[in-house]
Amino acid sequence: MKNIHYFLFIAIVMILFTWSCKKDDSSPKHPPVGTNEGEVITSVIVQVSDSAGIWPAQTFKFRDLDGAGGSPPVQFDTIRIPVQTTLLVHLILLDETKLPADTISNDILDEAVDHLFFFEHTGVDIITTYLDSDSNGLPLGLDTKWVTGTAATGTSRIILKHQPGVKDGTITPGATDVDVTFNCELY
Amino acid sequence: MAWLLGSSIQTHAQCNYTITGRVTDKADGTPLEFVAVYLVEMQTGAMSDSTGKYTIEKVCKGTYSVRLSHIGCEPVEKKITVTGNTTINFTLPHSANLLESVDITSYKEPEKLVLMPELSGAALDKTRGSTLAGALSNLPGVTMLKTGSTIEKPVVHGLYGNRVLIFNNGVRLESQQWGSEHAPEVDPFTATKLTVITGAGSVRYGSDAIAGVILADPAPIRDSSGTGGQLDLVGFTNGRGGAVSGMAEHRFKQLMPLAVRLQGTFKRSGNITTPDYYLKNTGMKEYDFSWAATWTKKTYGFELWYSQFNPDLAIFSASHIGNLTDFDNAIHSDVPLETSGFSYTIARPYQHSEHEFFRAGGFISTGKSGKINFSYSRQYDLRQEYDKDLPLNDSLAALNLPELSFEITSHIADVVWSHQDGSAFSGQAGISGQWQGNTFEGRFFIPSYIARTGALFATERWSGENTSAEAGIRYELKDVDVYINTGEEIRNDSYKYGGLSGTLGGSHRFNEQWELLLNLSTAWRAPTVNELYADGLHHGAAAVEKGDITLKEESAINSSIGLTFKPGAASEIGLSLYSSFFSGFIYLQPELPPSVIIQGTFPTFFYRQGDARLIGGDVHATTKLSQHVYVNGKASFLYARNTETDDYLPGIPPGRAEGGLEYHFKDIYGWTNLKAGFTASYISRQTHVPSEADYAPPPPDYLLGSIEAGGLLTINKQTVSVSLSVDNVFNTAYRDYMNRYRYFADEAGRNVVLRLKIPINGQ
Repeated sequence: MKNIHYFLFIAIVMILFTWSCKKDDSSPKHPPVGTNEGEVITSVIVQVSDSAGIWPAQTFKFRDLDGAGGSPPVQFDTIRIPVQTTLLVHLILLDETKLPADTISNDILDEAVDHLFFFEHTGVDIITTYLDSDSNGLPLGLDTKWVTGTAATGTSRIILKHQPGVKDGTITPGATDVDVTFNCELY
Repeated sequence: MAWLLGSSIQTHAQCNYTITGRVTDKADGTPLEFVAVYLVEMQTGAMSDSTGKYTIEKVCKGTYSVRLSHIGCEPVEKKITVTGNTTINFTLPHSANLLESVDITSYKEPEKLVLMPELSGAALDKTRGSTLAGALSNLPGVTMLKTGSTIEKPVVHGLYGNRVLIFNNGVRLESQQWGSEHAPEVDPFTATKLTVITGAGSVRYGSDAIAGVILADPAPIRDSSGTGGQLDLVGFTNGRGGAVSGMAEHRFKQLMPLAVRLQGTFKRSGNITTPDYYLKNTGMKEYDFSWAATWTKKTYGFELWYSQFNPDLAIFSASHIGNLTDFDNAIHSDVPLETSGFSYTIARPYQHSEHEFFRAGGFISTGKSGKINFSYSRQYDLRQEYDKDLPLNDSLAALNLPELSFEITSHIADVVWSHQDGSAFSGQAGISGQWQGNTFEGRFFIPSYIARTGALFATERWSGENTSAEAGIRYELKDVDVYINTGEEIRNDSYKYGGLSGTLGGSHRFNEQWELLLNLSTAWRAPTVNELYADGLHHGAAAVEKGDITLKEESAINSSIGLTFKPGAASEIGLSLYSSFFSGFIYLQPELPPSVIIQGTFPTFFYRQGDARLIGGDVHATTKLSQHVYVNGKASFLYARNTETDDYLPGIPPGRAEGGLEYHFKDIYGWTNLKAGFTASYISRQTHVPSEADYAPPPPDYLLGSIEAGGLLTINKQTVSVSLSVDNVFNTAYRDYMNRYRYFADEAGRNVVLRLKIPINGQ
């Protein structure tokens, strides 16, 4: 009987032994390109059109194609818009590390209840109002109306807050997904 | 029994002598726990602790028969004569089959030539349930760097990460130790002894042991036939958690050289609470197991060991921030911006690791005086980091992939020859080689690489009557091949490093009371791949880190001096002073311009290199106020300066002091070693911080109290070690400079911990 005991013991050890040793399937010599599976927002595109249709529509861009770190942004436009005008502003967010580029702003529209854009204008007289809202009736900000004042230069800061489950219409909760400060010129 | 009658009992003589010593295994010198050391004539005795130590007090002058009994062994008796305070060590043939005689050896502690505080026995038992770093922080010179209460890294003399080597059962731990939020992958329940070699160890353990070496050693497998084991149970209130760790081992009666052991640990806890609020998402779960098999003969032996460590650690939600503005909001909020109630759920953000060790090793005696130890080990480490938010893209989110994943596989082989022939000389010489491959998936933080290391070393020691000296030298070569996929091609960068490290030490015992230790050693390390290549946003640190591929080796000259004064059997004062002078110290330096990325503007930290110096000291003292009352105290300080920028080094533990009072009760109702005590710890405010390199000033100083009571309870010959402790007994709200969550939340509040240790012995 005792021998059976020992054999059982050894058998357990052997089973554990064969079960052991996890393997790393990838080879250090064939690394992937960084961020191949993840998701990054690389570009903020600000599409501006005149509500009266007089001033031609324009597009201003921030593009940092390799995401955080690495090279500085490849494109960082100044927002040049006319004075005393009511403008319609539409935002597009892209992940340009993918081919073709992934339109993140579509996903934001799908999850509007968790997201909120903010606009902060400094040194330029622009009044921003929300034109869109989520299913709870709280603003979103992919589409806004900008009413411009007199000629000036300053900055326009665009912030996207990710507020899963905590969105209350204010900037306080959540984490910042986008925070880009464009130079802005009213002429 | 006849000779017992012949012993003399002097009833009128002085009766205030203390007999102390250690009981070790005759075969391999391992400490034997729970050995009853009984003075037959005096009808008194003591139980050895897990370091094998016993102390019998109030012994009269005279000759006694000492009875040693140990579960599973026949009792053994031996005659001793007491004429004063005496240290008597016993060796016991632990195996019933080998039982021949018991040897008595005169007191001679193995000489320590460097400062190497260790934690074992009751002191280690008190820490059961905490992390490796948590346990080690009870030792002088060791503190910890925390990321919440579940991720803790040991800090030795103010340094951590790649500057501290950790050996688990003799195998060098190889994982992603560069990250300050990466805890060492070691189950502390497997260790029965934790040793820290402070400021030395570079020759024997690796030239990169700049701040020190941590050794986590399990107890050797039982040497008597039969089955034994141990069960550890820990329950704690803060986090409503618990840990169960069990070990079973067996030595075969018909096949004495063969023994096997199985061990496993399971640990689980939920959200931690501060005195005022719960910390959202701070739970953890972990399961670990290991097995070992040994075949030991007198002249050779083999051992197989396998272990797995699998933790899932939740990351405090409020610490995961989007950009500097968020960070600023979090710092200026008295309570975390995200709070919750209690939950065991581990939600995003969290980290998942798997660490696996396999070792095959053995020894062969080379004649009478020497032996060759050899070992091969393979380690696999997986680290996956899950960010706070799932990708917006639904198909990506459905995969629920980690945003960052690293896999490291390491192979290490060693051959060491050691000689000790009973003469004044002893020493070791060895060769060591290592191959390591790292791969990643997901977000880029450090590239894939292959690193190879080879080393030769030799140390020689001379031990005289009261003086000992040791010298050693090591040559190590390392080459690293880094592979980066730029999208168009795979670029290969190669680096080669090499150099000598050395150690020189000595000790001198002036008399029974005074002893001096001196050590001088050098160490160096190659820059790590993250220091060379890091390029990206560090979540939670709100910083962009950038590596520098022009970094060279970092080297240090460490010196230490230790002085011990033992005025009596129960009194000791120890003082140690140390310094480290660095050249090419690698550090993170904030520099302009800040990084403009889509999530906002972030400070940019560059890895830079310069000279630095660290000077510190630790002091400890214990004494006995009366037969029942013991007091102890310890204090430490550290002063660290970057001489390149002429500024303080960041992240250096502030000065601290601790005092404790312990009452030893008389044995009662099956209880022995019954003690109760109170400890007060004071941690000062860190005022030596670099100017304008931190987001918030260091938190103020604080005072914490803890109480503890415990003892050994014997019921029907079964001894159980029981301890109950309360940490942060006054539920003080405080923040600690060495916790990365200090920007966001208070430290954990009161925690009541119950620990049971149940040894199991059978045939």
